[in-house]
Amino acid sequence: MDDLGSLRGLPPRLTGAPPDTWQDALLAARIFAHCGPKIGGLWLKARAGGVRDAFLDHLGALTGRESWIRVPPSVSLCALTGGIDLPATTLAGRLVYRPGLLEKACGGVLLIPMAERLEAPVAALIGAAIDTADPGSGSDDQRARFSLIAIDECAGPDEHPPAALADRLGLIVDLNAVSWHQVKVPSEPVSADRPPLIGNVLVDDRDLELLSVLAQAAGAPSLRMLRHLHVICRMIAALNGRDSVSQPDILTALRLGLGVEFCPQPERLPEQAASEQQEEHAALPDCPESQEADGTAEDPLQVSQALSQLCDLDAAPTEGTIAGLPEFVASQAQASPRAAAGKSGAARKDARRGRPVSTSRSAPYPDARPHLIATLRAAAPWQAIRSRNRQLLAERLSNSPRRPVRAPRILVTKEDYRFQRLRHETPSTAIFLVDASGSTALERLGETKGAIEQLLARCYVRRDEVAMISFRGTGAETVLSPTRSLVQAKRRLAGLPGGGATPLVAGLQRGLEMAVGVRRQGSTPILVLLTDGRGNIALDGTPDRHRAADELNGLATKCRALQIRCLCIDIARRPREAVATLAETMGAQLHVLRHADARQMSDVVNLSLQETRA
Amino acid sequence: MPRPFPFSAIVAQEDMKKALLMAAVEPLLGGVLIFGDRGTGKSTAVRALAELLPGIDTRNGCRFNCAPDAPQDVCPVCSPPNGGKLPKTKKIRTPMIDLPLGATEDRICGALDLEKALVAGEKDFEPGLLAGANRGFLYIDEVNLLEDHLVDLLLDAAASGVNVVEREGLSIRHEARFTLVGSGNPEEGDLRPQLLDRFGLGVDVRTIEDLGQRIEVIRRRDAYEADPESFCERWSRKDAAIRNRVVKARGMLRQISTPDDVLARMSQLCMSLGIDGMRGELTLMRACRAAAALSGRNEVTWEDASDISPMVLCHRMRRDPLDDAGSAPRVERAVAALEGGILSEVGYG
Repeated sequence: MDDLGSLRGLPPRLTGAPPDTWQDALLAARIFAHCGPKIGGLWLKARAGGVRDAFLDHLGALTGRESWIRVPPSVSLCALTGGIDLPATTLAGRLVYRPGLLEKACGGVLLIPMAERLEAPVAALIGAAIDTADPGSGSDDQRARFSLIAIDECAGPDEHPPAALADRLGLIVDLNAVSWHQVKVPSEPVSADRPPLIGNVLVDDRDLELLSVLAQAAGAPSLRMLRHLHVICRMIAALNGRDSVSQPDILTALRLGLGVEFCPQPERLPEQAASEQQEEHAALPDCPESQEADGTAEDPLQVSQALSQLCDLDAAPTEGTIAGLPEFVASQAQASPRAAAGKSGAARKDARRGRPVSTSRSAPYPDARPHLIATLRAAAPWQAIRSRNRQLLAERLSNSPRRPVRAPRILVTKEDYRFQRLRHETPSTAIFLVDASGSTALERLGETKGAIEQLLARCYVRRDEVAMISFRGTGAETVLSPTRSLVQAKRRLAGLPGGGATPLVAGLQRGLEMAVGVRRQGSTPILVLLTDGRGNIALDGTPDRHRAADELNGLATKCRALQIRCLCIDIARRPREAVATLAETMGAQLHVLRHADARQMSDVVNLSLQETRA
Repeated sequence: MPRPFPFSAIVAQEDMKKALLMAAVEPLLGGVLIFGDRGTGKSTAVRALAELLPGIDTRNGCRFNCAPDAPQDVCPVCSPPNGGKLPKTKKIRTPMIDLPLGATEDRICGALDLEKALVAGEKDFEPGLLAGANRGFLYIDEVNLLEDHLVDLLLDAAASGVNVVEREGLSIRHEARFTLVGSGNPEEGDLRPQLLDRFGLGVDVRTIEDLGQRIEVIRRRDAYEADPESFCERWSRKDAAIRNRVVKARGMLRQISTPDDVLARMSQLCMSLGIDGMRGELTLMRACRAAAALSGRNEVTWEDASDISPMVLCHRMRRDPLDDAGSAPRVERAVAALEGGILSEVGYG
């Protein structure tokens, strides 16, 4: 999507050869091999293919592929941390521990394929392991000293590796734009050269300031990243055999560590350029400072060129000209509601809490502990047979060294294990936001009431709840707070007045508040908005169409950001663009029900409620 | 094993450091919640704190961190079954238990010793992380990602100071007095409001923006990594100064008086912010006492309260789901209004 970004809004490169991505990748591989855990790891943005394989092979040659541990795509927490190996424990008659993947990766490389699919808790655990391996942690747990390669195969802006992981990875390599003919793997691996010492490489205070300012400007204010960048630029200098960091090193470090590239300014009209130049200088106190520095540099021409690039970069965030910014910078804003909608509070059959429902032979979740009583109960009938078997076996193995020391009192085998299953009810709540204004025909209000009653009658079995908010006149009112009682709903909906202006914003706000509250109680909210999209009353009750539109837009964006599942039902006589736009902003499904009857409406909502459980 | 990064060498983040020290002085505060950006030294500060604090006395081989003069019945080491000999006492570093996200309920509370149960058929208690954290700190990184039922369990133990295990035929209670420190990034999920206000102090940490300080962080970190021992040596005197402050503050904590007018103003503040229950005022008073003790004063002043109030009250306020702005400005405004009101009263009087 970086390519798309450069096609759409970013100015084309006009001067200078673009930095060769493949060469950068090779340099990053060398730095990765030398720095190891010091810089956390490497974030490899690449889809499966020859280029990625070539790069990984090269990296493997540098670091020793045999020490790589590959994490399975949907790894459980206990597989990472290790634990008691129950079958082996009972077999051996003493406690047997199974080492986790993090422990196995010690001193080597942990490879995470499909890092964009990694769940946040797993990412946090890996991040914590990197942190405790840090000498600064004071932890005596030094075994987890590994570096990380996270392969990110994201296809769109909705996907990105968890921020907890991305923040800890020092290098970014993007191979998505590299074509096969560019790939030239160095014939003899460079692993033979002895690791350069970065301890002797000095960084000027001014250079460090520049690095910090640029990293911040590029949207990476985290001090952890700055630390990584600091190591990287010293390593670059050390690889080039210098003992001080120069400014081109800093540029390279930023490119490797943050994935920011420099887009030279497009040609502009002179006066415009001049005025913008002034603005840039006014806005950037460090520019004159750094230009002082180039007097002392060896190659004034090159450095001043680099510096003007730096100033451009510094100004770039305001102009939006940086290509390839790490995705997590804007991860919150880009999250799509549909990607995660309905999963959060959906039914959990294998919950970790809730009412015990039954015992089962298979573990309900990966690191479940067996239910002791049930296990013993299952083992009890077999004891006589098993002890006889065991005796026979012991006689046969009497001179084998593997013979257990003494017979245990109870023989428990693998098939005896029973696990407790818990069920946790997490209902869904459909919140109806009904336009009761004069612009909507009263008959539709009646149909909505009918739909709600039908829905309640249907979803009683599933223990779903329904709420209703109507808006008319100058404000919104909660007609029906979340309930699953059909009787209460009927009583409340009996005398629902209609007519007046359309305070759509107030209605949406009330609905959103209710949805957030419902979610906090562990239920999944679904907003069902029935409107013709013509809000004309602002939040404070004044008839101001423009302000109402602005506020509506803000709320709809908020709704999307909160990832609340929405349904928009257009109930105007003719489908309107206003509703479509609103649905788009809210990230809602749009339904046009020209002849909305209660049955149709309740079908649509019911389908949506069912989807949340899938 | 290398020593952790020294507490005194942590640049800026004064709020976080102050909150941690207050919690170390007054265990009744009920823990610290550190929410904020990544890479701001949250974990570093907590680990450094454990190193900085004076050690505790316990007996050799005790897994419940019993104090030598107050043995617990559960502990087979400190209360030997039939009048056996007690092992020697020893001084250990203040416990700092890291709670990994993948931890299970059994691992946290302790459970039936599976080895003994399955192999020898004996019913024995295997102490968990809560026992290990007794008289020390329990640190949970990414507390917002922890399973809800585990958070409930931890907060309950932290608030009551006792860990109760009733499962698998075991019925055991043992002391679990620890200071809970949680950290997390709010963008990845919030804590339930019921849980939020169980934490005594809530600190919001932001990435350091000041250029000079940022450089200083990198420099110190670099010096530390190059030679941890001599770096810690260089900072040991400052660390010792902080340690002495904490020890002195712990000693004088009970003698600190809180004037009635300050207490009245605290209540006014809580009421004007609409904070339900007494927990806000109580924690504010305790935190103020700890702060006064840390600065070596015998009396709590209103300055203490106005300094600390955002830390104590922000996470207790009812949040508007549509309000993006933080609640810190609201607290500050309320404090300012209160001060304004008081001053004008004084003026009229």
